[in-house]
Amino acid sequence: MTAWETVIGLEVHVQLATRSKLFCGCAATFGADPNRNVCPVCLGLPGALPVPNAVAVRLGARAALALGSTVHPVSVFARKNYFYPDLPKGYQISQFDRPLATGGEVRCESPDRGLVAIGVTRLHLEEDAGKLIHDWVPGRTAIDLNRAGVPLAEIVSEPDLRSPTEARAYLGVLKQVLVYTGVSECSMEKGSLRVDANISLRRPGGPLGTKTELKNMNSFANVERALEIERERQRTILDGGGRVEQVTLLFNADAGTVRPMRGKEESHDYRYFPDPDLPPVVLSRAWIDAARAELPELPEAKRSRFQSAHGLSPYDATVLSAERPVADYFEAVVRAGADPKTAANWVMGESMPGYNEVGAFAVSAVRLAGLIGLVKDGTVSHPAAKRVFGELGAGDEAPHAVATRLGLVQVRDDAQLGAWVTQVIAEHPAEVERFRTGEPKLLAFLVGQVMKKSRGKADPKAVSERLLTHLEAS
Amino acid sequence: MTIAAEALAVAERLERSASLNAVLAWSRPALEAEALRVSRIGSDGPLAGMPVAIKDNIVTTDLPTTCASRILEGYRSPYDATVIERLRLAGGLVACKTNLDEFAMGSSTEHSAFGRVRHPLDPDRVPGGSSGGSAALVAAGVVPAALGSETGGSVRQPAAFCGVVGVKPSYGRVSRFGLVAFGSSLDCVSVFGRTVSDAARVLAAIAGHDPRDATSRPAPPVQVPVPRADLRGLTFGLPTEYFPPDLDPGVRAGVDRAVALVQALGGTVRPVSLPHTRYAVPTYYVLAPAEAAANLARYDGVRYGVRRGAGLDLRSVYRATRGQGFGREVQRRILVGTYVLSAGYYDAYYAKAQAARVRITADFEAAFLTGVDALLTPTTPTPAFRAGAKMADPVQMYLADIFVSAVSLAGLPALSLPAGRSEGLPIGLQIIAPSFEEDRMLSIAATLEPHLSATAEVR
Amino acid sequence: MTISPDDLVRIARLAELDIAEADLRRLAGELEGIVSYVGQLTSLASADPPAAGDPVGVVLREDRVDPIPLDRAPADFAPEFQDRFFLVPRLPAMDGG
Ligand SMILES: [Zn+2]
Repeated sequence: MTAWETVIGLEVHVQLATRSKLFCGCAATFGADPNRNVCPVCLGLPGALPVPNAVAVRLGARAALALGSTVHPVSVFARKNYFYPDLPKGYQISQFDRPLATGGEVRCESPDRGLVAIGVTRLHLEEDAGKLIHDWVPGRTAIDLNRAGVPLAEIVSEPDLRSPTEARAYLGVLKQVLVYTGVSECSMEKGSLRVDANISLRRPGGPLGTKTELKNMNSFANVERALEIERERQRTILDGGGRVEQVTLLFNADAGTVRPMRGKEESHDYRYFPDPDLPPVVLSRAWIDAARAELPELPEAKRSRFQSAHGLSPYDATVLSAERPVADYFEAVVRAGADPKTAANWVMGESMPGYNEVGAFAVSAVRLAGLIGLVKDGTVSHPAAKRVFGELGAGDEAPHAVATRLGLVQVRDDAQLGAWVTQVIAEHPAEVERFRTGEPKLLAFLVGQVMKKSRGKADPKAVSERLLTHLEAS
Repeated sequence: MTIAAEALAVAERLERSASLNAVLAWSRPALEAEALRVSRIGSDGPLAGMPVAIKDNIVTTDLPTTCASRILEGYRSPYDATVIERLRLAGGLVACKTNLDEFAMGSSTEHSAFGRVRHPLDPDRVPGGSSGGSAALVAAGVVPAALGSETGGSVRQPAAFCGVVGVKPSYGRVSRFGLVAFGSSLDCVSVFGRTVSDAARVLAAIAGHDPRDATSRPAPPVQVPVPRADLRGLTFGLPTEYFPPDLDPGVRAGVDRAVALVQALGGTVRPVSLPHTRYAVPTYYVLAPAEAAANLARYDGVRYGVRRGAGLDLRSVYRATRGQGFGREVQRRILVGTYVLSAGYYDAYYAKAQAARVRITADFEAAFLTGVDALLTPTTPTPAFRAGAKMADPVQMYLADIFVSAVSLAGLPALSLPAGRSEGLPIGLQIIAPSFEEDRMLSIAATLEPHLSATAEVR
Repeated sequence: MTISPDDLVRIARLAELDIAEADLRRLAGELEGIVSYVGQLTSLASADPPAAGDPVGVVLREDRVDPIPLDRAPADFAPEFQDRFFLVPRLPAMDGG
């Protein structure tokens, strides 16, 4: 069997997190009644004109800068002409030969190749089309134009990906960066992130093969799956001596198949030309610098700083930097005085399950830091602290107060401890004897007995020390 | 006269002028409503109840907007154009919607789906176009002023043919929001007036930056001109390319007389050259159709307008709707525009035309840089021609715009002033000014106007 | 430049225009006339035109939700509208669904 090299490029459309649409003042929100968020501009009524949204341009530039792309001082909106009922004007306003940004890269972890840098070809702004629903009325296609005109950034990768798994890793990193920078919500369920994939096979080092385009994948896992299926399909054709046809394929997740798309444009002659309704987008050096200054620390930088500055393991650093709210929370806990490694364990072990469930942290960073402090100074035991954490909730009761209320503050009063230790030694002569004659594991049993007497309030470390002193002395 | 009485008088005149076929929509109730609206805001606005006819490619909520096309028959816009809002705010009264070449594509108003407009002085002749209905109504004295639109001379040319004042402002001076797009980089809402002053008053009312039109530009307001005592200190350029040997003798005589008058009033006159003039019409007939082909893609029978092809599949519905809904000239221009943008032809046509446009614009800039304050040219190569004379040959029709299209490509303000008559037909003098120098242009026109004896025979 | 009836059919399809069989030849001829007329632009020296200077940038709109109101609802002007949707003939199946 001859070896084939897989070549994949991705086109990702993300909805920019604006309030209003790209060229009109309609709300860009998801889920309104059909044809509610429409106006003369996005309905393409006679005489209506587009005016671009400043925040859409800023978010597009921010995304580009986060990917290391060059934001161009002059970019141009163009008309992409084709007829389709989801396209009110008969053309889509997009950017063609002068996009907002070019270049840049996404660094992601490949299972086969380690850390790889995937080139970004370009990032441009464009308006979304409407939504079509077939047979909602029998024999008709229904059109909802709420989404028409919603701002999108299209991010096109170089054909640098070499496997479906890499494609998925690329998407993960891209999404992380775009969510981090507040550019987009990147929700595939809500349609705010969509992926088209190009794939071809070739002999290693040889010329590129004929590519096919895959559409209709509704999750990153499905992108990977569709690419795997299509890779196998192309491999079978090529191994059999056949030729791959250049087609657009629709992925069917239920059937696990890809099938050629029918019907859309009969021609791909889009007759692009600069939109005469829109002068060029001109961005000054100062504007671009300000957009760059607005960038938050990106996940990759944060991850390495968490390792170097906080001494976290690569794994912990990755987990804690994956989402900006988590990273910010972790750092707030540290800033409030907690030891970074301990804080990392608490955030990952205790705070994150709740966050992953409801998308927010119930216990404020300052209170968590306070609780960590109580463990550190021996006020409460670690297991007791976990109980306190569970009780902290969203209220504002201080951790120490909760521990006190629950009777979990450790007893370190020497006299009280001494009394319990003396009692336990007296009550368990057999075990004491066995310990003394060479069974050190019996210490744990004796500590347990003291703890039981204290009803969990004793500091086990102090108990253990005191027991040893007693046992060795007598 | 009260505003209500004025509205009534307009209604009478509209009824009497019906044979011109200049009007596509008007109604007494709508006129009464307009009058009431103006009375409420007070009649002391700058337009003080002036009735203004509106070309039917400017959208209005109260009257239909058809662009003289079957495809928009009965369409009523759910919003008003910015110029309509501004007109009303200034106390103007929307009198009626006027006939035009379908989607403003034409130079004779013969390409209307609702019949051609008659020239007020000779029903066998055309009033020019595409704003022929507005021009004819002003010429017939039905209204003192009207809105038209220019893409490549569609106000100046009919103004010259009909013997009224036609003012095209600088591109960006007046909002296009609500003007149905034809060639977006060229389209300008423009004004007809019985006099320079009437036209200037209306222009002043509608001009100004509009945040709804990204191509409109902030500028100081347009002033209603006060005639100067003379034209001393002003230099006028006569572009040699605008006086070809085959220029109609009547037109030449009219412009010569006007130039002599300029000199008599103390103005300096000298020849200038605009060497790329001969490329203007071909450039225009690449760029305007290319933009039009995209601008008219929205008329697909899906969201508004007339749908044809019941029972057919979607593509057939598109083709039937557009094939039956658009007239012959509109289809020709859509096809030309589609052709010049299609794969393999873009560089040969569209890119070349863009380059030519830059040169044409640079010609004007260079002329103005030599110290010329305004240019004087004939508005049209001939007076109004006979109906049907140019219908068989599209290119001959296009050449009726030979003196007006360069100005549109350069985005400059220009005006056509009645300059006498030849064999009973009006002649237009074109005054072209640098970008956003409308005030200078209007004041020159207002100075010349009382001396020009617009109805006098020039030969 | 010649434009054949076949060329015309291709362009008309891009523009979604029905052209009657009987009109094809006439229209192709007219188009050819117009296209050869504008073809005189090709005689223009193809050297780059003088630079137009720094372009004037578009004035961007603030990101506010303030749509231009509709005086009439889509149901009033749409050729076919039902329960808040514009309707067209059922499109050919795109996804087998
Ligand atoms: Zn809208």
